[in-house]
Amino acid sequence: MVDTAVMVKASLDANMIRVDSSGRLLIEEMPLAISEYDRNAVEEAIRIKEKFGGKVAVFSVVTWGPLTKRVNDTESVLREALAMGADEAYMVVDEKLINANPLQTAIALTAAIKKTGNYDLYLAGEASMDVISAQIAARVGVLLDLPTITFARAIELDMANKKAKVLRDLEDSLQWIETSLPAVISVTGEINKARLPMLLQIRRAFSKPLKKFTLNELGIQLPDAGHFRESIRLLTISRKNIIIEAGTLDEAAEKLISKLVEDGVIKPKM
Amino acid sequence: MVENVIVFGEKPSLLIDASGLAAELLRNGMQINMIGVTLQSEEINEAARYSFNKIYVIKDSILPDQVADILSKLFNENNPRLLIGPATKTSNDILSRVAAKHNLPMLTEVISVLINGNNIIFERNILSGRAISREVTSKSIAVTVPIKKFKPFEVTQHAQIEYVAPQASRVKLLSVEEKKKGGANIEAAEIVVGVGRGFRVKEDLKLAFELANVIGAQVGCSRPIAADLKWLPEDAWIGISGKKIRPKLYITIGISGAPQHISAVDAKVIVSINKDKNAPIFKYSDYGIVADLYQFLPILTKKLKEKIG
Amino acid sequence: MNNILLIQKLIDTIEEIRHFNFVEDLEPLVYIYTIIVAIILLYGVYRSYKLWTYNNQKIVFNNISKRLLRLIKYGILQGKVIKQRQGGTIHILIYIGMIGLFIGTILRAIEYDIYLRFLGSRFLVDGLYLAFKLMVNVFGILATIGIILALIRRGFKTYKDLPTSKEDYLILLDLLIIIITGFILDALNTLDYKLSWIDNWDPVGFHLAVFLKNLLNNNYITFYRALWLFHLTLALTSIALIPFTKLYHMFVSGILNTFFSRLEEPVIAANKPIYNMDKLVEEGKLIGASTLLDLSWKQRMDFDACTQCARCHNACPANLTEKPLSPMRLMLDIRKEMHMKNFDKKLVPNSINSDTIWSCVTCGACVEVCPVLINQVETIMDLRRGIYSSGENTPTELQQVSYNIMRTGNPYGYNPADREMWLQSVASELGVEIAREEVEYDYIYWLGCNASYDPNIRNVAYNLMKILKKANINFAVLLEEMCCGEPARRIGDEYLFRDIVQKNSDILKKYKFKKLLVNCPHGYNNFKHEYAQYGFKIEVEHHTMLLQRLIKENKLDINKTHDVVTYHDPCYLARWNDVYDEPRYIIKNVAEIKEMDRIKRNTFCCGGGGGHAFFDIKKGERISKARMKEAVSTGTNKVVVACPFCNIMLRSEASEFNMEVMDIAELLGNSIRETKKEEK
Repeated sequence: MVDTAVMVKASLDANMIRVDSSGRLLIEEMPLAISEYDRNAVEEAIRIKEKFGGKVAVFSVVTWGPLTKRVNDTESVLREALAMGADEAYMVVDEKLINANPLQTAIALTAAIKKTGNYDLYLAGEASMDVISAQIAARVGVLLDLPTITFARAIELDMANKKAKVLRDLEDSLQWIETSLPAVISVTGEINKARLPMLLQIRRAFSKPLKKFTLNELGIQLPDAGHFRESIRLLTISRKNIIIEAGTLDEAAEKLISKLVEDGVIKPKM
Repeated sequence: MVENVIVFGEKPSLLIDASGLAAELLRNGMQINMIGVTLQSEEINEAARYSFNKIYVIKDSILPDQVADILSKLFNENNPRLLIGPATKTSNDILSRVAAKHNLPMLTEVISVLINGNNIIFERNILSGRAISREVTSKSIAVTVPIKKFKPFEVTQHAQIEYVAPQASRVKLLSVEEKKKGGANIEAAEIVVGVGRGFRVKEDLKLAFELANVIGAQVGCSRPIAADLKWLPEDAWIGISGKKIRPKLYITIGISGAPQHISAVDAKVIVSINKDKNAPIFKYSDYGIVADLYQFLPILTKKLKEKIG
Repeated sequence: MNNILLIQKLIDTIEEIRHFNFVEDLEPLVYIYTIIVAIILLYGVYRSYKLWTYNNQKIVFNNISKRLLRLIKYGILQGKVIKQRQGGTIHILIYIGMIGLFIGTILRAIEYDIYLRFLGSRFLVDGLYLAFKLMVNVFGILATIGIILALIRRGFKTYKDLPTSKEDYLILLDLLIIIITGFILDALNTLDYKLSWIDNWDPVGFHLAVFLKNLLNNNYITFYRALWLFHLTLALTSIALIPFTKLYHMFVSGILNTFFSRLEEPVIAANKPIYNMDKLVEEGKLIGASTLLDLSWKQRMDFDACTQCARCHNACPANLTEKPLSPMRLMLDIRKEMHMKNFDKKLVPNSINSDTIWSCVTCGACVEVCPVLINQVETIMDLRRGIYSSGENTPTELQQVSYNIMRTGNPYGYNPADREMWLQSVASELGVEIAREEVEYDYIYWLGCNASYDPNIRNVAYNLMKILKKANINFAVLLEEMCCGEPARRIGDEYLFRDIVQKNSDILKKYKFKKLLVNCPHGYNNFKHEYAQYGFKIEVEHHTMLLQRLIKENKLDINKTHDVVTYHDPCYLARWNDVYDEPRYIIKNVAEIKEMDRIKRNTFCCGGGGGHAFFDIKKGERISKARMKEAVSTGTNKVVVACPFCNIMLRSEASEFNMEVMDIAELLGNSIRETKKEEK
């Protein structure tokens, strides 16, 4: 039996950008979706449950505003996780958490997790797909005071000895790391191919419990770390559509290369 | 007032690179006492020349919690305004732990910095590079920087180097395997070259592979090439039913531009080569060349070889 | 003068039928054996009945007069059988021949058992007797020719992939022997009591008689009796064996399946609504069919009705491009399970490969050509729903389609904000109105997902709107469109489909309009037939229908070109909905058409239906390629289409074959003359 806690974020989808006529980003009107690697984390938890038994609890913190709308969006994301096979879902909802940074989010998540019980495994995606801060798992690991391994592309459990072997995927190398359980692990997109929930599975999952907490109910206060997000602005999304014209193909090639160097996607030898 | 800044880099070269951010602040008028932390002593003397007052080399430490523990001690001793590291997975992991221990906010991959009174203002990309977030801090913060983003500051003084003994880790490293280069992994590739129906026969794809080799790209393709003609394996197929790619640079050659293909591409810059000026791909490209790929590719490859090596 | 005398002489010498000539003592055998045969027959039919109604399925007996007409048109008059020349002709010969012979036998029985027995009179006399004799001869010859042709057809495999087994040969030979022994018996009778005979009325009998006379001299009574017994036994045994052999098709396929055939449009019959889905979902049950228990009495009758004629097999685009689906094979495979009483067995994947079910493009060619009115697509769709709702054996690309529709409102996962921006800019450029709730429009132009997002199809919408403005049509477009739901339904996600119908109904209810206008036959079919199944009736027109009318009413000024093009009929327009003249009318006003072989209701699918625009069965040749090859063979270099899916599918082949693909709206749009008013 393995009980797993999975941390998921209802993230903005970069493919669903909405702007007003003046080009201003309309974040409040963009939909939220389950962050891609968090979905892999849920999938991994479900597979572990299918193999070893136990339960899967999913946790999320509402960090985008406006609050009412985003609570619905986050609920919808958690229902997807429940539809995939998770057993319980928990949400932290508080006005103070709107635009929270990973420092604050990790504190809220940890409190919610602690409130619901003890788990053998704590999973999260390596980073969220909207903000890509890539900190939650490591932070929660510190707050829970548990061994933590990031960027896992494979997890092998040895429940007889309460251990896990994790394949850690770094840029230039692969590490096999062994840890005792409980442990916190963040997963990459390569760890599995996550199932897609169907509408009828989501419907069926409505009977599973979904609970909301406020910061008061969790008995925590967020530290003032002297940091806030001032603004988000759009970078021009549309492509430049520049047709490179030149007298000869040689000249066209030169022009192209210089533009690519300028854009920083090609690095000339120094 | 002199602020302490701790810069981390798992290798001295990364340490130097990451110090560029501190150098940037220096240039902006901040007075800094820079402390470096690294894990390797190879080329350490090189690093010592880059405006560090002291560099700690943590011996025999490869696991993040070992390093984080020591960094945390240094943090307590020095109470820095900034904890800086390169935007690598290793550094990201380590710094996150330190940030958690000391209630620091942390910003990854910052692309710009400026000082405004007591505040430091950072900017970073979000939403797949489509938007920029502007972050303001007035207290201590951890930050990672992309490689070669900021220029380090070279001085003539030599930093003091101190070796630190390793701490125990809570986990056990069983094995390390260096990754092989090569083998198509277009999903992770930073540069991708996409081939389409413009190529007449399978053998002609070598023109694209030559280009890819020069720029260090992986080669992917549109649907017909993989599914029907089977000139490339299925995992090279970029499309709604195939692989999705997120490169910095995507070069399409002889691809017409079906949305099912394009929607699977999330690239910073898209270049397209196609002999049909009305090909839809040009609408989705930053740069387009209307030319016969058979003529243009060899020229492009040659010129890139000259420029990049 | 001579002829009349001759005939008079004939009539003077005619006798009547000598019933049971030579075998009076054997008469009781006929009745005993007939009763035994009847019992066996009834048992056979009962067995089928039990299979069809297993697990509380009740045979529905309604609309009797309509059904009788069906039976007459397709069963008795062989309405669809004759559509295939080779098999149709052969079957007509055997069919008419056997029916004729059968009627002959009935007439004899009536005369003997009713007229003679109760009324003491005869009616097969004089001229009627001559006619009777001739009829028997002619029909016997027709049947014989038919049977021989059938044997040749099977023996020399002149029809591709026609399943032929020993049983087929045995049955054909059995019928042949019955007919030939019948002829011999008649000839021997002729010998007995018709000495001088005009061979015109009994050609076979006469010539055979002469032959036999020489062969047997006058010792033929024993031979006759033996042969009569043999003929009787063989014929009656064959009748008894009808329910257990291919001969059963006469009853099940020809009579029952035509009578009980679905009265709704085939496309509606193939896609049945499920009204208790919420309950099924709550109880954790599957939606759709997984075992034979989930298939209806009508579907089970379909399986038994299949005559293995291979017409659907040879019309199916999946089969023709070497994908693992043959509708005929599927019917027969399920039939086998049914006869083995495997009602609880999960058909997919235990007896049927899931790839078989996923290979179907729902083009309806099989339904169109089936001579006995089987609806193969209905069973495929039911099984597909069953697979889909189980979550197993389903291509992930299709699960992604459902997910995209759920999350982004379109099967591709594109950004609706992008659609809105584009539509607003086009609308303002062309002066098209974005629908307002208070205003009444003649049409709301529902773009559909392809025209909304795919740049090539956006061009179709652009041209169409341009034309509509030119013709001063009172229409508007919607900013908030959600996928019409057709892809969801076709891939088997019925639950999502119903949800979408609800959502789109809520959107459409807000506006006032007479009809919906679409440029997509899938959308057309969906709004026309399928939304009503879940309670939302809506009037809809496909753009070719409106454009044809506009041209006819001279609302458009067109420049005719010297282009020669070919037109690809979309399955969902031409075959499922009978719309193929209007597009041609439009095209002919612009260019000349060179037709392909498979057109109109016999069109060959582009390969994009049934969810196949979103994924590939990676086997065999692409269906779109096969169709493009056919287009190329017309010698034109332009294929005109009327469907965004056909457009997309054929376009992916276009560069390889140097063909241009163009929608009718674009063809027309390029040819509209600018009027003098506008030029100013």
